Amino acid sequence: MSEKGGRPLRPSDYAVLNALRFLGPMSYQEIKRLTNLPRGKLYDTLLRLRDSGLISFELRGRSKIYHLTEAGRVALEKGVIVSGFPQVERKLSTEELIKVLTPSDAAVIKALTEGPKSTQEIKEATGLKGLHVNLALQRLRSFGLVASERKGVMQYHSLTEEGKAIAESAVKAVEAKLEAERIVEGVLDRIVEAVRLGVSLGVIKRELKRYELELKERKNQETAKN
Amino acid sequence: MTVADLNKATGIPNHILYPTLLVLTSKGYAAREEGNLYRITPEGEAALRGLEEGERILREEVIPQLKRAIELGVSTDYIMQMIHQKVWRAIGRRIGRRAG
Repeated sequence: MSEKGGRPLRPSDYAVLNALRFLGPMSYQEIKRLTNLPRGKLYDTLLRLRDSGLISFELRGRSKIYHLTEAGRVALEKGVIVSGFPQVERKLSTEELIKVLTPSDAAVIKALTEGPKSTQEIKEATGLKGLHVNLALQRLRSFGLVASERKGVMQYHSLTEEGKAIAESAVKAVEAKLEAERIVEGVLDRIVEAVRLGVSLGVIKRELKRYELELKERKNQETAKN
Repeated sequence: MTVADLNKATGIPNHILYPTLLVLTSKGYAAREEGNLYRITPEGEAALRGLEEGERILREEVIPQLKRAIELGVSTDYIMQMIHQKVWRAIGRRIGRRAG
């Protein structure tokens, strides 16, 4: 197939697009179950289809719900990815981005705040395995937070303007989540003890919600004063 | 105590009190005597003490620690999700959520 006619769809593209066409919007787990594609391949396929504008997603809680776009419908009919179709990808807000970033994403962002780095340098700076660095870079590129450039045999990565803008808050948010996890781990034995004694976890939820609201109100009052 | 007395003392309506008493008697926490009188059993008293102790643990030892996580900007929902996962893993069943 010539470049002008578009790139032909791969079998995995057909599997994902058909699932979304006939069964409607669904999550990663549902697509995985229906298509039976291996995890790595499905992840690549979803990224490729999203970059081509054939599918898009929206966030529902912490999971992404994928759906077919108009370009995806056309691609399924023609069997090729037609270039020049308008990209319908929705930009994620900073809050949404921070929600979906993983600790390894945050570690890579933190390493890149010092300046552009090669994949190897990121590996050394973060202490992450090569596979995890590559997956994090792939994710960050798809969010438009990182740009990669090949120089000879090396690939250099740097933060985009958007990446720089959210770097600090993203790293802070992920570090806060990790610290929260450590706190929960620290009191887990006591929570389990209380649950064994018959107490509902709703007691914790009510107290924490109340405190969260209290903090928010206090913050609002302070900003109003300033 | 009769159901009417319980209703007066707790304010819980009768249509909720009856099934609750049924559960409590079947678990052995309450006993039904002649004249439709209900009384708490020693097992029921022990369970009540356990419940109070559990609530004390949460209020005095757990919640103050978790408030630190809220101060870091982590949401209650995220913390609760984490707690459910970890507690479920620790004791091997779902807590406070219906199956499915």
